[in-house]
Amino acid sequence: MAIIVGSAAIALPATAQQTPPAFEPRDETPEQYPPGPNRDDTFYFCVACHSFQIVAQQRMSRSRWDDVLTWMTERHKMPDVQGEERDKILDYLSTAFPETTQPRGWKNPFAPK
Amino acid sequence: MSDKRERTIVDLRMEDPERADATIFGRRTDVSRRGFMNGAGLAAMSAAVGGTIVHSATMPGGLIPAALAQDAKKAPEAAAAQGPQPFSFPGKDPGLSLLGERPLVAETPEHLLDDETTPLSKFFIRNNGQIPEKAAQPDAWELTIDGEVNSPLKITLGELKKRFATKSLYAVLECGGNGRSFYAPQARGNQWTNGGAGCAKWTGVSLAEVLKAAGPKASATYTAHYGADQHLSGDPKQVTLSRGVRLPKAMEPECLLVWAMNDAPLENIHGGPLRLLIPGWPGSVSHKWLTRITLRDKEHDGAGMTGFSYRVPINPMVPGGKGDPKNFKILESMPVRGIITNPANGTKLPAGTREIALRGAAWAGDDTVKAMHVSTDYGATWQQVELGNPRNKFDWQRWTARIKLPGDGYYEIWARATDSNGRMQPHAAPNWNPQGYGGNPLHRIAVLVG
Ligand code: HEC
Repeated sequence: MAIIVGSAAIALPATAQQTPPAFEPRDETPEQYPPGPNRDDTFYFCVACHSFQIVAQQRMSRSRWDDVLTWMTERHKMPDVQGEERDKILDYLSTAFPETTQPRGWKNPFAPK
Repeated sequence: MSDKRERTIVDLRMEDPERADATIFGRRTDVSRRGFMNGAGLAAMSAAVGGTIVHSATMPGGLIPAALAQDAKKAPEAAAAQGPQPFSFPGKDPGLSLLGERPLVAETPEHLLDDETTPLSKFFIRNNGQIPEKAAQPDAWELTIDGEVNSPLKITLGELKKRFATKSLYAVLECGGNGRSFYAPQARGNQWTNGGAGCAKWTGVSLAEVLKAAGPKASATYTAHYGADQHLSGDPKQVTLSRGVRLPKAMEPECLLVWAMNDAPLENIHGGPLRLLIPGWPGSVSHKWLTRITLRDKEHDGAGMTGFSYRVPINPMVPGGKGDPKNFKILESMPVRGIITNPANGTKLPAGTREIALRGAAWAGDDTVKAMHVSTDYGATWQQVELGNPRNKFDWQRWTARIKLPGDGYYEIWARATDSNGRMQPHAAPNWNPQGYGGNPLHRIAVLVG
């Protein structure tokens, strides 16, 4: 997987305007999120539109993360990623932000595997 | 880049240079949820909450004490070295909880909803797209009413103010996803607790009067709303959000075209200079920066109307499952919800405290709240509280109570509202759905005496 070098540093806002924006989000870097293979590429891919905060709020199974990518493409025109690249993104997301379950106690007997 | 299989993520990004050039903004999350404590016994739990769990006998298995849930929420991510960054926005209370910066989303912790009317500084923020620039000349803002009407209307805010009677009301505005964080497994989207809601005084003109001025045709059955906020991707062809309601709802006298909030001109961050207010229904139909309302002869199919968006299952589905879009219906009236606004979750009280004064609020979408109950023993016994009347339809109802405590220690206070149809808040978030709409379990706080 290719690594992006310094793209954040040289980037300009997508919609450069004369007047200052109503709100200036703070800088965000991949290092703020759980380490793991493919973290940086996943980060830079997703933050093209929104903060990674919205991603890191979630805890989902791999198959539900897969649904999220499909939804991003269908609803928000995220570039369609398939094959190995999709696997890498899903590997990171489902490892860094997995579905949380209780080890014992009440359990959903029908929970999707 | 010719062979699809050889393309990297970076290449895909470069296909759209404008998007790829988008500045990398944001910050680390402060809303991480680390999940449950592994096999914690009562002793360990008591140690962790720093006091005796007084009504432990009736504390349901599988529920983590509210105090622990609160700590879990604050626990930093493994990789995040810096502490949570404070929320900062001009005119807003730094105590709001930031859920995301792009788009900007912040909720009001329950204890900051303690005012009878929520001040601007404490009102939650929800954006779906980019925040437009503040309008230089508010009265020149233009609204179009078209579609299934006899005489399409193009009218400025200045003309609206002159031509139609001004109307004010107190109304709850509540995000459709309020309470989403209570779902298990976690549902997708912003992880609201109960604070994607507030009650303000809204001033504007009747939506029904303005629609009537355009002469709705007999064929008109549904509205479609459009705002000026751009899609997050920066692509002008993409619609950020376009939702609508059945025409009879839009014609209710409490639906307003709003230009003032709490007697001040409507702030840009809340959709000023002109927004819709469709009280009782998910906030997303109350479009901000409103530019157009199109009447349709069928249900609206705009951005946010289809799939699982703002929809709930007709027949209950397996939590965590895929869901069949055909089994979903549009979420209209919001479900009943009651909150404790005083004391705050995590309050420490002096040893010997044997009575606490409680305050709170309750509301129920299109309905009213019939009763409010509190419990200090995990729901084994309930006490009915003093519940006020709404100032007008769609206002929230404030409540007060005094509760007695048998001794020092750790207590949870649970609060449960019952709506005018007799429906109570459940103990757990009901009717799981992929995007987590309708999560209205009762509110729990923890206090420590001594
Ligand atoms: C082309 C733009 C774009 C890209 C690229 C993109 N998203 Fe999104 N995403 C959006 C928009 C727009 C929203 C809706 C924001 C809102 O309403 O708050 C969203 C919302 C979300 C949500 C919240 C879901 C919900 O139901 O509200 C998640 C989770 C998410 N994105 C994950 C991702 C992940 C993971 C990636 C990278 C693999 C990604 N997104 C890349 C545009 C994008």
